[in-house]
Amino acid sequence: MKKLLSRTIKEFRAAAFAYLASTLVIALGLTVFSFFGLIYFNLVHFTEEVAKELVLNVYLKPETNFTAAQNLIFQLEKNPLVAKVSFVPPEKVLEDLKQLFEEKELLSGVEAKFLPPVLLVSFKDPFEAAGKLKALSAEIAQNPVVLKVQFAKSWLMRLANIKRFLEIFSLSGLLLVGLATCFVIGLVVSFSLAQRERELEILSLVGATPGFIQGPVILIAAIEGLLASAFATGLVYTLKIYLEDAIKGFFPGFSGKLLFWNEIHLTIITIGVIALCMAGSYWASRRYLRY
Amino acid sequence: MEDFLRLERVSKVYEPNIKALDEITFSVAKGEFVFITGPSGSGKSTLLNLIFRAEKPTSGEIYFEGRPLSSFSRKEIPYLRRKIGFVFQDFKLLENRSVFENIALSLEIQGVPEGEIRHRVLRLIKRLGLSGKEAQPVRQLSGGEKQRVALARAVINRPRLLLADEPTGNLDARRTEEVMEIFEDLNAEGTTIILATHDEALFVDRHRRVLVLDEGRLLNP
Repeated sequence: MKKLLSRTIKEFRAAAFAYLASTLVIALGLTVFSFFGLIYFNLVHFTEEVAKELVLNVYLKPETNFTAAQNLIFQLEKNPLVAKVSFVPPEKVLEDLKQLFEEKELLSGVEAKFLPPVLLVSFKDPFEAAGKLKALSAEIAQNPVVLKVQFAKSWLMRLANIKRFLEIFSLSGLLLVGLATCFVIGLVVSFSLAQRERELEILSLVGATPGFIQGPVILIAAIEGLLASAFATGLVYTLKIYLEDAIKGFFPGFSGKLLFWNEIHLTIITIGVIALCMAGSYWASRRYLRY
Repeated sequence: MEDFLRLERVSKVYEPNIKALDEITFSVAKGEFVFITGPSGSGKSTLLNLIFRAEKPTSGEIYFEGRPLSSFSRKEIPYLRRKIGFVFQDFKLLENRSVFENIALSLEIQGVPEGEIRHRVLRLIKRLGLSGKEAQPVRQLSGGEKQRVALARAVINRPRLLLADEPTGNLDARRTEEVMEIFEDLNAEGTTIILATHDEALFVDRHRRVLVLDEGRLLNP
């Protein structure tokens, strides 16, 4: 191990510029991949969050007593699609209406007892629920205390379509950028080794084993992958902070916080890049060995 | 007694249909010093490359110490090459590395301790008249000096067989004689040598076996 490290240092010194340049190119390729991945990831997440805001409104008859409403709440909460059911009493409905209308005279004389209480039903996965909402609302409407069931089906369907488009677009986009990154990494590793073709050939001719020749080259490739991943992560994180500042308050419903890769994502990206660099280096150096 | 090296009907054909060697058969005994001669393009370098396993024959078999070279796996080839020294016609030196580093390379890859490497390399450098040039990058050397560095690298690990392809091609008469003396000394110490040259003066009056190649055929098997 000590000898391998010393040979690796020697190997790095012999072509330090080429190795640093290739690390930088790999890091930039990875930054592009990681940045676009993060954008797609956030767009999909944002769509999901907006969809969660769209709830099913169940209007109850004004004369409905609390126990009857409670029974309906229990019944709805048993449904596996449902995340939460909130009860909005008529007084709160009136208060909300007053806040909504600037012309206060419009609501003068309106009494809370004439207004229907409302149940707001939110779903665990609104897109999964979207296809089943028609049947569910018909089932709820049959309950004798229910006046009307209303939901923003068209909005939910639009969001579902946007999400589906984003998923297809992001997956195919990421696949393309990912393939381009693999290509760039393979090419850069291959180019940096092509400059040393003669040296690798000579080593194999004087009796060096493939392990002796390729060991340091592959170890350097692993370090390149690690450094490139760290560099790309840092750069994308900086871009994320900049973007958060730039788009704060730009979209209604946007919290102003973008999601970033979690530990699992970062581990997968880093290990993937290291493995890719090592494999690229192994295959590129293998070509120049004369056995 | 088993032959140290034996070639049996060895042929080499390059694409599309260039016959470099045609059914070559000969043996070399342990400790022998053999010259291979012939005009340019007669197949001398190809023959040495096949013995070194830098290339594979199209047909036929080469036996080294009784074992067919075709039976050596990719993993075993480095160990075969450590038993065979090769002075390449184009030297195959690392131009940016020093004289010392180039010669030490053959020992380094075998894991020889640094102290021993230093001792052996410096002794050989002195013997080959390269003293004072240890730290000099090879690219700054003359053709003759590079030739001697290539020879030093080939013999530093005391190979059982030494192959030399035109090893005096870049040397003047005095240096040629010095290098030939080194070959004679190595042979006297027990190293089997096969030396390819087109220069008749090298083998005349040396009373060594001379194999003559012409257009890929051995004229005196």
